[in-house]
Amino acid sequence: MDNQTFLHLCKLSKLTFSPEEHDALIADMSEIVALMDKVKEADLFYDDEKDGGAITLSDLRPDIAGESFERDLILRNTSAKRGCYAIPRLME
Amino acid sequence: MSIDFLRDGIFELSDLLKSKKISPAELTREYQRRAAKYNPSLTAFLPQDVSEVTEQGLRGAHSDSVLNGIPAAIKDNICVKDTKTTCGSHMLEDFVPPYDATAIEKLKKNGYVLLGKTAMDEFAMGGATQTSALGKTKNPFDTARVPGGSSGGSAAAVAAGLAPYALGSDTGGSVRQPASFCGVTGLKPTYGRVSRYGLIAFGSSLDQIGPIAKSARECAVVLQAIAGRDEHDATSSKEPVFDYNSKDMFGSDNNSVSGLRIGLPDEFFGEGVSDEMKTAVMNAAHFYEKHGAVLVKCHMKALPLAVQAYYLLSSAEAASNLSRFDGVKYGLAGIGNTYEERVVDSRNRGFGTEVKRRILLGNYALASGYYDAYYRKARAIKQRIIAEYNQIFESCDVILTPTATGIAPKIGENADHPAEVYAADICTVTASIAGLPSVSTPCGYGAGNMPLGMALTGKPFDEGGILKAADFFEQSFDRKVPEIFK
Repeated sequence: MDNQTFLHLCKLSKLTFSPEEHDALIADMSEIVALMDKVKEADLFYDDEKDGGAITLSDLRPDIAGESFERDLILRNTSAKRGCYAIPRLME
Repeated sequence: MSIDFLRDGIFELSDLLKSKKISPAELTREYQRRAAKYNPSLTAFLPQDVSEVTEQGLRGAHSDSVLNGIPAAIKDNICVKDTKTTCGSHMLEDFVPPYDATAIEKLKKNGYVLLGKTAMDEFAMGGATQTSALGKTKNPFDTARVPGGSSGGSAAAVAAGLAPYALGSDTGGSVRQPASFCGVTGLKPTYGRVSRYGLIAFGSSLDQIGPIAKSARECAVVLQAIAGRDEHDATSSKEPVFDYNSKDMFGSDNNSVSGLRIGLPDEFFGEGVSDEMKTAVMNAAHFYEKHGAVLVKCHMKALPLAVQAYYLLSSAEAASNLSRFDGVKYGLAGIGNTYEERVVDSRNRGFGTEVKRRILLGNYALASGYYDAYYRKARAIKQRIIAEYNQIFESCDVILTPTATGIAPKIGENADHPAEVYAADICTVTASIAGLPSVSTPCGYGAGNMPLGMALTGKPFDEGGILKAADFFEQSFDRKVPEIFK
């Protein structure tokens, strides 16, 4: 795996690595991709028509508002301070 | 009253409880004492404090179920309300779910008592329980060896008699392979048989919760409790739940294998599988044949591509599922001046190396320019594997294969070569890809008396068929227990 591809994947994955980790990961990913490359030998084609339809609309829950979780139960997993928690700025 | 922790299972303990020779609280305390003594040398359980939930369970143990009052170990990717559910990751080190998984809700109705949360590979990604950030488990038969994974803590807890039964989860073999390495029985149900609600997602088209216990009969009892349709999981099946505990299921008259057609796919007995494993599984095949089963030679020609298909599909799904971990709503909070910096910091520090490798691979398979060559090709291989299974099941009732390529490897073996570790999943991934039920049960012992497991794989929703076949073998098999925990 070349450096450019690796950096592109890191961006997609929202990950960064130190220079030492970077080199080790490229070596690992090259080994893994070499294993995965065997699928290219398969003379097979994916038939979209065969898949899908496994879940129908009738399998879904009725869209009725019900009781939800208690606010405190949800907030205990955030880094709330004195009942408030900071939301990172989304718009730069 | 004395408990043989290494031999007694759900039925023996239920008898003790029903005859009031012991109370659920006393039984739980006995197991807690044993875990306190032996867990430090095994790390089957993670250290989170579950005492409040345990006491809640004891107060609610008033069911007629065989499971009533019997303590259980739960893999730490299954949400238990008011108890930390970490997935073996720094990312979720402090996560306390606001709800119970459906499997836990169902166990509660059967009077379950939580004994502890078990160690696992981080986000269930691994086959050795060594990628955990919070506790790496050892094999009870040889603590220099791995217990398998990712449900290694659950399998080790049952094998060492630290828990009567456990729940694990299986995406590509994570219940069956540790069951094989630890000499216990583990069942991966048909995809959709058990609700995934509350199971922290890895590969959503593959994940299934399954029981690990000392026998197929015990796995049947647990499956009975947790199986069924759940409106919280649209992929859970409406297929009626078979009565796995009926008189027709197990018993001397009904549990015959006479006429049972057992498929033996050639490719599963290839060069990557150790001779001692092949011999143990073939001995089991001949045992069945001696009792009236018919052995059928068959083929799974797509097997050499199965590991690749599994890793491409599961990693693609994992990359998507794990994108939710940004440190905002839950998870390790990131530090930075911008949103992007905070998210990247959260993921950099929250995830371990193996999880990062899988996310990178998943995004590689899904990336523009690679999608057709990898992801769609993997989907094509999945279709071929399903077609080949359908063909085999035209002439067979169950399929018998090794569960793993050999005995449990030593801790650290192949750790620097992830691709070699992935390749070792060859025996379990096809049943996962096809969504079929598969049970692993011990069939022999290899070098150093390490357990060897065989897998019986069935048609969709034929858990009853494979559990009956496994039980028939177990009734005559001399199961060994780990000497150091006697």
